[in-house]
Amino acid sequence: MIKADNVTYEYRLSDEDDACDAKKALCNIQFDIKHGEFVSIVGHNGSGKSTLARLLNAFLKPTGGTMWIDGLDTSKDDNLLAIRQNVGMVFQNPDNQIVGNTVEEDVAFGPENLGVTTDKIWKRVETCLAAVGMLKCRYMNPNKLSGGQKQRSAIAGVLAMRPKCIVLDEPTAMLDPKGRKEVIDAITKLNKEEHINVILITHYMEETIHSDRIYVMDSGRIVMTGSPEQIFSRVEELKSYRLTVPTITYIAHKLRLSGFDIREPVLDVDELIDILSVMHGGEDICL
Amino acid sequence: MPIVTEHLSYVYNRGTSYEKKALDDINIRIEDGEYVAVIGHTGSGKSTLIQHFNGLYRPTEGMVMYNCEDIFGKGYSKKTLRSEVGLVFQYPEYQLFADTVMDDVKFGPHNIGMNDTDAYESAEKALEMTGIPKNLYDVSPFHLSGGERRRVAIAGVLAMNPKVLMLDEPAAGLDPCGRRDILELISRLHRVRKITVIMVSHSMEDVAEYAGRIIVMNEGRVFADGTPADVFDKYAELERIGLMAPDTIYLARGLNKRGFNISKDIITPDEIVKEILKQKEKRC
Repeated sequence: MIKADNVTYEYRLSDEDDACDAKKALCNIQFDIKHGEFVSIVGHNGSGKSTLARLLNAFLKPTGGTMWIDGLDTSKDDNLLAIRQNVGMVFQNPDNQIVGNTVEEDVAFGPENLGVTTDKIWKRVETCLAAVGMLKCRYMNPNKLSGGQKQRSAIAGVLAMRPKCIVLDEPTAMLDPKGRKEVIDAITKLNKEEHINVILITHYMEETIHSDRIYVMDSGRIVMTGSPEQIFSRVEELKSYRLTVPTITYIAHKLRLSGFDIREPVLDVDELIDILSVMHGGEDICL
Repeated sequence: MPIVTEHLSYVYNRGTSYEKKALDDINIRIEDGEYVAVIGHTGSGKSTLIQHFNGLYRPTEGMVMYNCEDIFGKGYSKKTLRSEVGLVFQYPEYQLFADTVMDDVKFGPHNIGMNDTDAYESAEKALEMTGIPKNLYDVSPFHLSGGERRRVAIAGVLAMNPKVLMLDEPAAGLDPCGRRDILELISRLHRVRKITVIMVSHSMEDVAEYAGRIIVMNEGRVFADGTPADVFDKYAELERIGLMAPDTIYLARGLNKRGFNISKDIITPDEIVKEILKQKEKRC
């Protein structure tokens, strides 16, 4: 579905004297994301995550290598419309992406632009709002919604264009815990039930544990790839890339270092409770 | 210089159809040297509350007092107030504007009447504290990384030597290490410079680790006010108003149902690891 073939991206910085300086934001990126996959991208600020996101819907074009979206080369202008229809983007700040006076108008904006007929638009608006649990807010003013609700209507707006893939660039950074959970639950459901490709860029490690694969980025390169289990069992390596593991994973890791027989990583609170209480009851706790 | 509110209420868009009570009868007292976290979901009144503390909002009813004086009293100097009660807004790096880092940080001190030498000295101290190296002083703030820009913005407030530092979501949008750097910086200012810290945050983990007191806001009212241990102990009530306790609390409560005995005062990951090890040893 999405294939990066040796993709490189350089920003050109020019100062007052027009002297040019190139800064490599991405360097020889290689990956192949299959249909229906949920991929999380993590990395510290400035590691190249957002640049990569912008290459996925041809906001930016690679300065080296080729980015393929569903078999289409993003550097060819003729492909732009098809690519942008297939890859929807959701950004960090919900307030910057609202255009409508009511939630349903806002969601209808995308399909309207694609030339979908009116009756079909209303049908789409309804299904998409239902998919993110926002149907009851359809007549509300988007500016009066909570952060989580705003982000979910932004996701519905993207869904209404029937993309095969949604790219979310830190969609929960400005939300409170409840809003974060709403958004993550909504995209997990879309992925599992509608089989939409999800690419989630985030700083919250907890949000990545339901993804099929995690890419860890550092200095414009993908430095680690694997399932959440594989990635979060490499605590020290993550630390070297200025990242952490979820709190529960961290606690389990510390306990194992102190001699507990725990198979890493532990990603879930209840799992850790089970492991520890079995040990607490049995004899094997006395090493 | 305690901050005290008495029956503080604030109504947005009074007299219009958008009228909304953002704060409703708030009575709190923040003492010198406290580290207070203000939490609550979006729209609960957190930011409106702290913006009353330096007089950006005028209470619709009630009073805000700083150092026992009504800050909206006749002849009260807002300028002095704002130099003593500094506010770092959310995403403060978007407010950087000057040509160089140094000019940007000097702007505050200049504004409160310092001469250029004093302003420079003050700015230098603030930049040092926030860990911005000297070779960046003459660089445009727009050439810095996100985390550096945020530290420069915080330095801009520190350069006015505030006695109270208020921050609205200072760690939002930063990567895990960037978050830690900023929070450690704030904690250091609190410990070493004895600055009173009032921090608005969404992250229960951060609050558990650093704050000495938590004020929970809900629908414009104070929902809870106490030590992190006491506030998180009521995690079921927090959930009811759309908040959650840190994961460590859920782990501790779950373990207690299975025969452990972890006190409510254990709230950070490192504390719980130590406690589990201790209880394991006891059994053997």
